[in-house]
Amino acid sequence: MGNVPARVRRLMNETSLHALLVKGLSGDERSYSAFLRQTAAHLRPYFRRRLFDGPDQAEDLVQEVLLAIHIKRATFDVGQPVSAWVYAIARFKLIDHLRRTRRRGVQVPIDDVSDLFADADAESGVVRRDIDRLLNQLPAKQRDSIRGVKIDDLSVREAAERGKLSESDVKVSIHRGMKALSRIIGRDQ
Amino acid sequence: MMETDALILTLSRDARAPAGRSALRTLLACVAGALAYCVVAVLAIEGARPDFVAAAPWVAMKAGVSLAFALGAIPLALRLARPGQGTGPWAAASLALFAFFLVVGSLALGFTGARGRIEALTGGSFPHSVIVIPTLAIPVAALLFLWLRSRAPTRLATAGAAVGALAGGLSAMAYALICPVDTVAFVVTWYPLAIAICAGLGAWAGSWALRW
Repeated sequence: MGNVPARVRRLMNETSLHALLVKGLSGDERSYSAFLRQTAAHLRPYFRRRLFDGPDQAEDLVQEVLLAIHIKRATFDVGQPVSAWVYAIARFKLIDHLRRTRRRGVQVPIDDVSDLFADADAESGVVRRDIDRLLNQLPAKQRDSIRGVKIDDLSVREAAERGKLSESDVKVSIHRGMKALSRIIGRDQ
Repeated sequence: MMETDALILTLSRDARAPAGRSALRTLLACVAGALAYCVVAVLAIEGARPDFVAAAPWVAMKAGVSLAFALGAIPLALRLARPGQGTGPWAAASLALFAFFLVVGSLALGFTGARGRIEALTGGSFPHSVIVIPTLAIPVAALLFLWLRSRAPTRLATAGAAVGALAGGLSAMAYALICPVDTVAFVVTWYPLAIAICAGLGAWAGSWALRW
């Protein structure tokens, strides 16, 4: 994969990274750790953009690639662009990761599940507020009938008993109320 | 991110690249060993053809066709063993060689009289080379896979195909010592085909056996 996207090459600051790696491989620990740190900083957003299972997975993959780079550092050729070398390893590890997770099924950590519910609650709160505002524009009879049958999930008879109305009153009120609601919504838009 | 920093710290204490032998030297050592194995195996099982001296030009031609593929596969395997290098001109060159031999085979058949064509193409029976050459190549490919795994292939199927073709080429060179069919159409059809089968099996095996 010699054809690294030009944007990757630019982002990775080829020249300085190359110098750091070459110095590192000759035994300079500080250059090598600087190379690894800068590489990690490039890898992190690369994996986060491509993984949908959270920053933890991306960080795991960053570490895996750093380790792979270290273990296979003898395969780096001084004459080749370091961005091409790193990019090929990162891409390989990403594909390998995606294959493994697809086979096992995506794993979702427990705390992500609670996040999901928190979001859903917040959203339904917003929706409920909107519905209340709409219903409050209706006459009381229509509002109570719709709330009873359409929102609180009562039968027509139950709603009639609760509102001290006849069943046909409730039905007509719902019918008129829904019409009125669609007029209100249409006007708002 | 703390863990990553700790990892970087640990790794950087061991910065110096290990001084190993070059990839080219280890690969050539594998190739030499593999060729020796193939020749010994072929001679032990089948023995050289009895008319070996008289048929020397044919043996050389068969070995030459096989060698051409092996020579294309060596630089290809070296490139694919290193992250960030494409196939260069070598994959295309090998495919062009394959196509060239197909054309030569068709021309050779064209010049053969209509009656002898089937005989010229098949050697009078089922072409055993397409079975024997890949079978002989299996241990060679296993050795070359080990070599690849000591490097860092990132395109597993392509790298597997390259060393598969190399294994097939070496195996075919040895098979040339015992192959009894001496027609151009036979050689340029079945030898490249046998090597292509090896490359295909290598691609398949590479996609799972070369993961690291």
